[in-house]
Amino acid sequence: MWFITFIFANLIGRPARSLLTLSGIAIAVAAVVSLLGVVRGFETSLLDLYQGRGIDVMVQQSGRLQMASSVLPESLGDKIAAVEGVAAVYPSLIEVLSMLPDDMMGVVVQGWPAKSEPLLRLDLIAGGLFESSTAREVVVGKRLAAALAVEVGDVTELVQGEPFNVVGIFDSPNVFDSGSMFAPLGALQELMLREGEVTMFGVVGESHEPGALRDLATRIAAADSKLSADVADDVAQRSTEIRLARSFAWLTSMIAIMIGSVGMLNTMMMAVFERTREIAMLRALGWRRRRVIALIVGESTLLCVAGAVVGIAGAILMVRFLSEMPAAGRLVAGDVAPDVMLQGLLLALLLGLLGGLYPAWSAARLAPVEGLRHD
Amino acid sequence: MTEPLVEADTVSRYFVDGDVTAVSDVSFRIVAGEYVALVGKSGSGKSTLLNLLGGLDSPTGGTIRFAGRDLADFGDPANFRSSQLGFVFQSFHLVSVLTAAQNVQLPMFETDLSARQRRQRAAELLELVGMSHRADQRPQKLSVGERQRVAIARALANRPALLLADEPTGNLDSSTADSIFRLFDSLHGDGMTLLLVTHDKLLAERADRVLTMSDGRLLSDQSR
Repeated sequence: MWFITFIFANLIGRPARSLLTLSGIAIAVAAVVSLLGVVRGFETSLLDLYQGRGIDVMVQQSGRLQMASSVLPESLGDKIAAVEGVAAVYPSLIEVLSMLPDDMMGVVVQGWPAKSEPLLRLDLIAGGLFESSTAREVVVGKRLAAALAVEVGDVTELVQGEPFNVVGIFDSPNVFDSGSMFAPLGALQELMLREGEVTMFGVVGESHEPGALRDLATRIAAADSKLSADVADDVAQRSTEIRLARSFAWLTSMIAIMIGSVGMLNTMMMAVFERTREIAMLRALGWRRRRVIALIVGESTLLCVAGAVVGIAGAILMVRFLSEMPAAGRLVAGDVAPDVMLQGLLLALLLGLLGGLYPAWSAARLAPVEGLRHD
Repeated sequence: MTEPLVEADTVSRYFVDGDVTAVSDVSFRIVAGEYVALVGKSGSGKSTLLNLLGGLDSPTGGTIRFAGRDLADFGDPANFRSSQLGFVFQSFHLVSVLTAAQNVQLPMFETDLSARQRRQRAAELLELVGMSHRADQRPQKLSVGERQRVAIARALANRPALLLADEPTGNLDSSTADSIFRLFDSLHGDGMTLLLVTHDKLLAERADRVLTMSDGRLLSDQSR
């Protein structure tokens, strides 16, 4: 018999308790992995969003915490274009509209001039792009099209009583892109009563080298005090939404860890209490303290690893399921990154150690003669 | 003179809780190969003395030497128990989630034996106690006599110098107890040193020597 056989036998021999504890750990790990997985997907998608559109530097109103609240005059585009190292400037108006019933996050509508670089990079799977910057036409992401139940040739109302023709459907591995729509800048400005206003400028640099782009961002910001410029990669990293989501995910994870630890602690304390005589007998047979500790910690760790495997599998299924949901699918990427799964496994091992060490220690210091008398 | 295997020298055990003297100034020697029965009424201090001899408890007075060494010199008492002693308990204390063969292997985890060697040794011991045909059964499937045989096999796992048994037939009917008596006789015949705490007169009569305790003191030490 291997030592681990004894550990297995103890767990299998008490199936109800082992399964309940394993379920608790699996739920804690699934919560952590799915939350962190969603946030990681959110972060990766946001990063890809800018890089995939060929935008190097993003320019917004200085002093604004969130890009969505930035307001700039479109006329500043000429000033930005004149900055040394700028190859192209694309003004953009970003609006979040309520187009779906019971939709808490809204639909992102991006207004760009016709034939601008971000539009040309779209992977169209049906129809085409709008040709005029004032046409009442939209190109819709595949996930959003599914949620709105529209196809090329259909009409959709961006706001009530304001119809736009769907001229194209595009696909994107990026959930934000796929869950959004593109409209001509002029038409969107008119619709939202924001003629002459934009949210940001997307700038393409003559050089795409990171150092050169940071210098370019500095020069653009210096060109006008109303402007704040950041390299696209940094915008994603510094995004308030990302930081909030990350903090929320970790906070929730900490709560899950605490609940998991207490559950494991309770289970292992009960296991030690119920087996007081058995542990005393093992000590009487000559088992050293460290072997008793190895037995108890081994049981808790094995339970946690099994819980982690079930929890990670559950998280993968949950995230996939969420990504298939019409509403959540516009926010959640369908995959959980391997390093997030590893974090879940490490978390489970931590739970096993936290929940097993104290019971193991109390079992190891049990006086055999007292334990053998235990009823 | 033969070197004693166990030597108790004015051993006492006083419990502060309840202000009780369980063992008082007990002295005796046991040489290798002896078959000794420790008898006395309930509360006479026999089990406490057995625990002291087995390193499960420490004396509050006097010294216990094993093969000439003070028990304290063994360091962790678990080392002493693992290398020198075999314990048999009245209520067997077999692990319910393990088979008979696996139960016998438990003390061997503290040795250098490989898993294969542990399995082989357990098979030999079960053969010795006449339980090889029940090796794969869990304790719940065994009769009380069979359980005690498995417990004896487990006590012999690490080739102990001394076998200590606390009321080994206390939970057995007379015919089952008789088979355990014969097993102890056989072990003694093979040279094993035995010290049995018992109420059972029939078992005590089979021993070479009977130590009788009363009120924590050694009342008599009779050899046959």
